[in-house]
Amino acid sequence: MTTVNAPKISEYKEATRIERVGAQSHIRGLGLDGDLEPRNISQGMVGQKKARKAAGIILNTIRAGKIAGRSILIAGQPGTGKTAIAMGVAKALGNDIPFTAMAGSEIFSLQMSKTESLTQAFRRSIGVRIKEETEIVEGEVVEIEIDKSATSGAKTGKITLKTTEMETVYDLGAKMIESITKEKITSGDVITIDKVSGRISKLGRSFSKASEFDALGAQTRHVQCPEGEIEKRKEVVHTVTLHEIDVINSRQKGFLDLFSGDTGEIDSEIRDQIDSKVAEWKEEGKADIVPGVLFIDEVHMLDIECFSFLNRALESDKAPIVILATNRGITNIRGTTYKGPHGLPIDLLDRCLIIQTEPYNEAEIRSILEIRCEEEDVEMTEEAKEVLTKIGVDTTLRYAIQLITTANLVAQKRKSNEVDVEDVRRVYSMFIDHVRSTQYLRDHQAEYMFDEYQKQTQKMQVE
Amino acid sequence: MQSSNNQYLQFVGKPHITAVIAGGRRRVNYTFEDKSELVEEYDINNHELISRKWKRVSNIKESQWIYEVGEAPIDQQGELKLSNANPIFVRKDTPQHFQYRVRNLNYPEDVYKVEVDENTQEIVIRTSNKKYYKRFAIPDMRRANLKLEQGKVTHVYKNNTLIVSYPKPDQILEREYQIRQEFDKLNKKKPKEGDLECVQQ
Repeated sequence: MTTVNAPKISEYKEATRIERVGAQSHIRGLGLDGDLEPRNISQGMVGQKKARKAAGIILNTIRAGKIAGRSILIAGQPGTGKTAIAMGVAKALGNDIPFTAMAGSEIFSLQMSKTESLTQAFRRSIGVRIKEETEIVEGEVVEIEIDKSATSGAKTGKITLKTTEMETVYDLGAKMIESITKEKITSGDVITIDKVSGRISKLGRSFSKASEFDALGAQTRHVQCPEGEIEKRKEVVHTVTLHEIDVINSRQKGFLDLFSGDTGEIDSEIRDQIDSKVAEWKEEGKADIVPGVLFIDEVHMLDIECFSFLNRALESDKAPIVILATNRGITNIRGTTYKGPHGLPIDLLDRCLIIQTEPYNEAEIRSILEIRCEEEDVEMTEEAKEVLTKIGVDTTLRYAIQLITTANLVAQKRKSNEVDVEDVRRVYSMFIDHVRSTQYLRDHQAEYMFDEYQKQTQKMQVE
Repeated sequence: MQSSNNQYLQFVGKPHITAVIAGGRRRVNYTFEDKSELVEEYDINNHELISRKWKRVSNIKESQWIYEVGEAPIDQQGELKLSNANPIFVRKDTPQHFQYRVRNLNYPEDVYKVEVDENTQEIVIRTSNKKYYKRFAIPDMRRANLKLEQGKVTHVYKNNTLIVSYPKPDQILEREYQIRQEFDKLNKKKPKEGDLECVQQ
């Protein structure tokens, strides 16, 4: 599929990288046009027009930033694009607005109480935009040298940056090397590195190197080689979340703790202090509060305590927009013996706007499969696509998607670049979906261990 | 320490001052009302300023010491640090001059050009081979509201080091003389390691 160049001595470049592709990595946005009308296939999203349109309206509410504490529930059968819509909203909002995604079960942790987890999640979704002076390193890359030690496997590296007036060499730590390879930074790129946070941004390619390369990405801009000093203090607009400010103020080495993941419970006094300070800054015009989005997937896993907490928290003026998602019907509300729609109590449902997602039709399934094929870098013949679409309709969309890469591997085994019908048939017979699995179990119940079903039917017959 | 408060123009209010003898040096600690700090270290005998560092408090991120005079300890853990082959820029004053040294510069002498940029009130070091460039201001002059004058800055190159000097104006020389008098008085009490001294405001 993809090849990796052997590292040369002075310059180390990987031609392409095999990146792990996630289930929703093909989503780039909601795919809406200027009037908020969803295009049929756009930005990775297919069909599901009603839901996407509704999400688009919510998106604009979020962007306006004036309304806090709204909640939305996306409900629908499994495999109907709930998480995909949330991802679409996240990507459409961009990097500026904090988006925290979590699954319902993450609340339950031994280190923190449920309400603390929820409070932290809430505060992670509210950003404070501040103008700050940070030290940055800005220059055109002359040379990058990365060596991998044969004994310890640790990578060390150097990068040479220049401006119109000077040149400097920097030593790179492991995390920096990772960022550099991930962003595919090469000689001729003009980059900015924030010394404090370690973030690298590519500003573009230098004009002087323009003639050397033919194939450039669509977003590549050409910029001037920077002037003056390499190390500068610049005013940067910085978005920090309330949670980060909490952590920094609650302990001495706060910033490092953020990375080591050890947060623990934070005093409510500190939180109150921070709240009043942020309100002060807002008055003085030093900072802006940016309410973001908190996405809780599998929300039926939360229990009645969490729901009561949510009810209250949603009413504060510091609440982010909360998007919930679930695929349950009328089920038990955890922590009680009552059943409720979607596994949620009615008072919480009342506070939510509910978006329904519907199962896809055949044409939509086909488009989704085509997009996934592209994302996973797999070539397929038309007939194979037909067969796969039919499988998707008969069984489930997810099963069909999972067959794509497996069929590709089978095709490679017979030395073909394209997946054909026989490959799809082979994987279909090798990996069964849950419908066939259930059927098989029904037929062969008795042969499995700990079989209760047989005894039960016997008991019923006797009675 | 002395009556003129204009050296603290950048900070809020009058500082709280303590002085300690530590590591063979006199360390003076100024704490300001907004919790920022200034630490100065002087040599005990000749009262030369060895280092001066500021710390501003920020709620958003961790505060760090910014060194005005002297060298900051090297951050070994840093993800991005200057390679040791690079030139190192350090300030270390003499009694009559503000002095800045750039070590590790291997280029021939005629490559360097040092001048004053009067618009931004900074001294600029340029190299004609485009290898080194530095712009810096002299905070002491800024604080005393004195202007840098073209023609007063001189530079010398020897032993792979470029030394840039700017003569201290009378106002500043006087202030430093006052500080030295203070310290002489304190020294008469023959202080030892770890002694806390009370300093007149």
